[in-house]
Amino acid sequence: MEIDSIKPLLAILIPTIGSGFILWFRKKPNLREGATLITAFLMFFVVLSMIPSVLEGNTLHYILYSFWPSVPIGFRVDGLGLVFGLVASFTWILTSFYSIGYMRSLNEHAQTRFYFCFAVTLVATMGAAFSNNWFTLFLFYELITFFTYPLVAHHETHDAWEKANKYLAYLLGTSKLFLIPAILGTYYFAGSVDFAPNGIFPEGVDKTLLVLIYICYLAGIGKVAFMPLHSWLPASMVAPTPVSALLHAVAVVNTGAFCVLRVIINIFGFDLVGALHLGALSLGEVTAIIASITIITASIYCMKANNLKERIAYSTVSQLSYMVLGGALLTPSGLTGGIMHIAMHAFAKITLFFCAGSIYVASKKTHVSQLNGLGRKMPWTFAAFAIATLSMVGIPPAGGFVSKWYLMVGSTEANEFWTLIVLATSALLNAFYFVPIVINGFFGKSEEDEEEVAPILVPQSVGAAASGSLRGTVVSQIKESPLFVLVPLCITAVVSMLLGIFPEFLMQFVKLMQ
Amino acid sequence: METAIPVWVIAIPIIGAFALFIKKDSDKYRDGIVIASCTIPFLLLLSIYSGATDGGVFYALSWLPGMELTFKVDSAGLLIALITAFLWIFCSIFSITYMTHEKNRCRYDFFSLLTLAANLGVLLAGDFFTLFIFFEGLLIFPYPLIAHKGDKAAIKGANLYLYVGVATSLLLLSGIVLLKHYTGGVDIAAVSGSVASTMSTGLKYQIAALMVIGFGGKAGLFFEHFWLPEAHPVAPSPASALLSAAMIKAGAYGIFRVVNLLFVPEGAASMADWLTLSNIGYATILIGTITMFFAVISALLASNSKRMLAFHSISQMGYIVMGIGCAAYLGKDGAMGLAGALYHIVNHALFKAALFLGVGAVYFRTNELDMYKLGGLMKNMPVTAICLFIAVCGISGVPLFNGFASKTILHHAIIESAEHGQDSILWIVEKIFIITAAGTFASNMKLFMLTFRGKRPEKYKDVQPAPLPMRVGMIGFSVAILFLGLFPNWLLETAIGPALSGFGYDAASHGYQLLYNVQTQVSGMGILYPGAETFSTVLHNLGSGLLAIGLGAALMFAGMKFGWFHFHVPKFATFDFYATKALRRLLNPWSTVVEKQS
Repeated sequence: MEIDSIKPLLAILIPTIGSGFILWFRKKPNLREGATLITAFLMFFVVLSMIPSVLEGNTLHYILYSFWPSVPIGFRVDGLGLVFGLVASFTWILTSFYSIGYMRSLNEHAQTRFYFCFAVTLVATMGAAFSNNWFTLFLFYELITFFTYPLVAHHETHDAWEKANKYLAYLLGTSKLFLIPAILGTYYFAGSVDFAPNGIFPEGVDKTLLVLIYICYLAGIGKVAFMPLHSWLPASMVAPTPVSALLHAVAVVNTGAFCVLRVIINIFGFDLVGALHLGALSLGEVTAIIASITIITASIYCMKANNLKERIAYSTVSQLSYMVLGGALLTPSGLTGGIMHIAMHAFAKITLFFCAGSIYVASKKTHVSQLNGLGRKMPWTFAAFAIATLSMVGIPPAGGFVSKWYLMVGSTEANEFWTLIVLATSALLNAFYFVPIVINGFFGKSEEDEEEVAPILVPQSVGAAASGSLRGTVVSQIKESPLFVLVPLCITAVVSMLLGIFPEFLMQFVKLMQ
Repeated sequence: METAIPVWVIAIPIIGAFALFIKKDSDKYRDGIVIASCTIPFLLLLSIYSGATDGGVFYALSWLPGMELTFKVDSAGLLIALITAFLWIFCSIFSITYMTHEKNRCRYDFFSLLTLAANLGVLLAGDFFTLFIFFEGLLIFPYPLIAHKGDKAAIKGANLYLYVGVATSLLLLSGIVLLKHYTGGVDIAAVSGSVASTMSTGLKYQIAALMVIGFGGKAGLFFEHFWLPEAHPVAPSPASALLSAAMIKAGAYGIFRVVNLLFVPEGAASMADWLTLSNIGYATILIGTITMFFAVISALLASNSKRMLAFHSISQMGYIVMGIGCAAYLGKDGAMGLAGALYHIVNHALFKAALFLGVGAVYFRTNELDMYKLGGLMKNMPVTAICLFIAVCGISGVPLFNGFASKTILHHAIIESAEHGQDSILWIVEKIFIITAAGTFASNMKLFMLTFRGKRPEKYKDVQPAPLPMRVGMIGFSVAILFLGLFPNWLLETAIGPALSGFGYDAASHGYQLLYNVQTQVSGMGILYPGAETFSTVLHNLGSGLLAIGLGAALMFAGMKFGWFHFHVPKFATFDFYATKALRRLLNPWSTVVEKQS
């Protein structure tokens, strides 16, 4: 049943207003961060309040404004959107705490700009999650691109500008070149760009053109980081870690996977994607092949990357294609796996980024080869890293196993047995590039064990300031990060474990999509 | 019988593991928790004995929609679970003093208990999905046990273990997913009927290969074995004992469930279905034989005693897998192979644990693992020497010790298979069986002689006997070895006999009748006492046992005299060389770059 509700609009208005407050309090850091936190909590509660009625099988609707008939700015909340919205809004709360610890520990500049752009990006993410049609989705999609640009360029160094420009060029270039034609084509043939449960194209549209539109969608949604259009994502790692954590592990990249799933489920529909052919392959298979190539190739890049954040970024490229693969299999179990993977991956990946940031805050180390023996100094960080690694590889009881299981079952249901091999190989490669970090962290001998350790200045940190133990002291050893950094990453690790033990929670939403 | 006891059996060690952190610094508290968390599951398992022999114990936990975690305990699973819990009890007692040499005891105990939980989970699982979940636990939790020391060798061994485990478990997962796809379920017993009828022959072979190789990584089958000789020497001795005696059995158990249950046709199955099973069995026999023979040669050439024992673990797994293969090869008459495999799983658990603990006790006092550098410790450590001697007799299959019983049954099974198939290769297998037994005796007796007899190096003059908890641990296993050795039919009557039902064997067949008479519930197998067989059969059994021992003794003396055991296999001819090289390349692609820079 479709019911009208203002809640989707509220979920977008609250952070909009909150971002205003952030600007207003620019001279008072504590109030500014307070505004961020309050906004994040309020938004999360609004999203939570949508759960009961959505679980009853309803979709929430709200039409804000119609430019011209059949293309409104409108919102619609269904299972897929709610999973995405829940994950993004919950992780924003944690990221806000984490940002406070991280930004203050490192004495970053331009923090108001940072928090403001962050809040606006969340506005756009919520908007994308709850969009009713491609027009609305496209507006928010572009909004995300523009407001993450200052975040990527945050350090304002030559390197940062260069990479931020690359980021912008890739995302804007793809969307202008391919996404707009695809949306216009959809409107031309279907008469609307609304999302509908089984696709919107009427019978009798020219097949070749439909295939072309589909390919344009795939090429246009740059945020899903298909190879070879992926290199903006590793480039964006120049941003501060909270940005990488929330935006380039959860919000931005999931928007990409989310858009592709919307195209497969709600624009074309399973039947049409299975029926349309490019050469001998159906479009589902084409998508699955692109996703598989991305999965494997990105994993190989991962093994070559020595910078920790870069490695995690390539892993994101690979994992995003899991979600697309799930949709492209065109089977219930595959879709289940794909949607679940949005949540499972989000919590595991944000944990990994949080850990990378925590390591940087505590030790200024950025490369994998420097991390030997660090786990003994920072046991909580590395324990969280280990749990996230289990989830990435897909080992029970971590969450990644559940989605991997459904993806594998889905690939047998679709009779695409080669994807079994892809998934298994990818899991193996995941183990190869993440597990050594944990092992060397806990068991390895650090080079500094023998050398004399240069004293590392631990700046005044919020968590430590509260306890009064570490204020401005110089220590010759690495210590665990401040609590503001540490607690969020422990929470995300635990959540990623809990999702694996109680997958029923997510399954409720996934069932709505079948 | 439906009861939640299987869940509690798994939950208690997990609860115990987390309870360790309440009072981290109290040794007494920690030891108490560890012993209790091993003993309570053992007692709980004993309490469901009657339920398990009488139709099985069931329990289901809901987890995912349509995917329940089910537990099903039959006599076979219960037997192995009991022996696992038994091992953990005595190894934990042993480690009370042994681990005083090591740091991070809390971490060790924590992961030891989690490993126990995962291991019991594998054995009590009712479907392959549940089994896989615990199998993955069994992959992760032992890692810190192996890498406990944290030096380079320890991490290398543990890494090899982990990556072989991850790779093979993915094969296993693929097999399970395919199985679910074609049969619609993963319940071991329920699926087995439909497998035979619904799948094409080629598919059966594919799934069997995926799953056997998947489980074989843990069991140390040939070409997947190379992690064992690296991982066992570096782990603390009680951990090696647990890994070798209990954990790798989980792999054998999996193979046993696949080969002996999954692919057994039901009721009026066609000849083709039985033929498929036979072929799977034949392949399994060959894998087992290659494994046992190859590993015993490596064991003879090893000088590090724990490395040698690791090779023996592989070799004995070869025996077990061969028995499993015989059971499948013989189809309805395969009771003998199955009983031999199950019996050998129990026996190997006991004597291999005793061997590792004995070697560990010597290491504890002398800090030396190279057997050629030891000698004459008989006077210093008499209890350890006697316990080790009992274990050596057990593993070599000397009459009156437990290994003799299972090896006799396995020997019967392979002879039956060879007669049944009129297959000359299987007769060669039978010869290899005897030669391997001889090699086992030679190698283990050599270990005993070099350690406890001969000339004592001057620096070991004042070596003290092993501390009391370590002696208690070793004596526990020795008593069990002697008991099973002196009353070989006891286990057949209480556990293995009842376990034979439910695998599709013909209860009227000769082998089944001998092993376990369903009506009278008596085993007539003539191992030490004639039972239902003639006295000459017993003599014949004893004869083949003694033949192997005689050959072994000759081999040992000749080898020691002419220095055969010091032959070093060139590096390029070992698996380990290539595996390590490949792994290093994969894991550290930048390592060469870093080295060049510095």
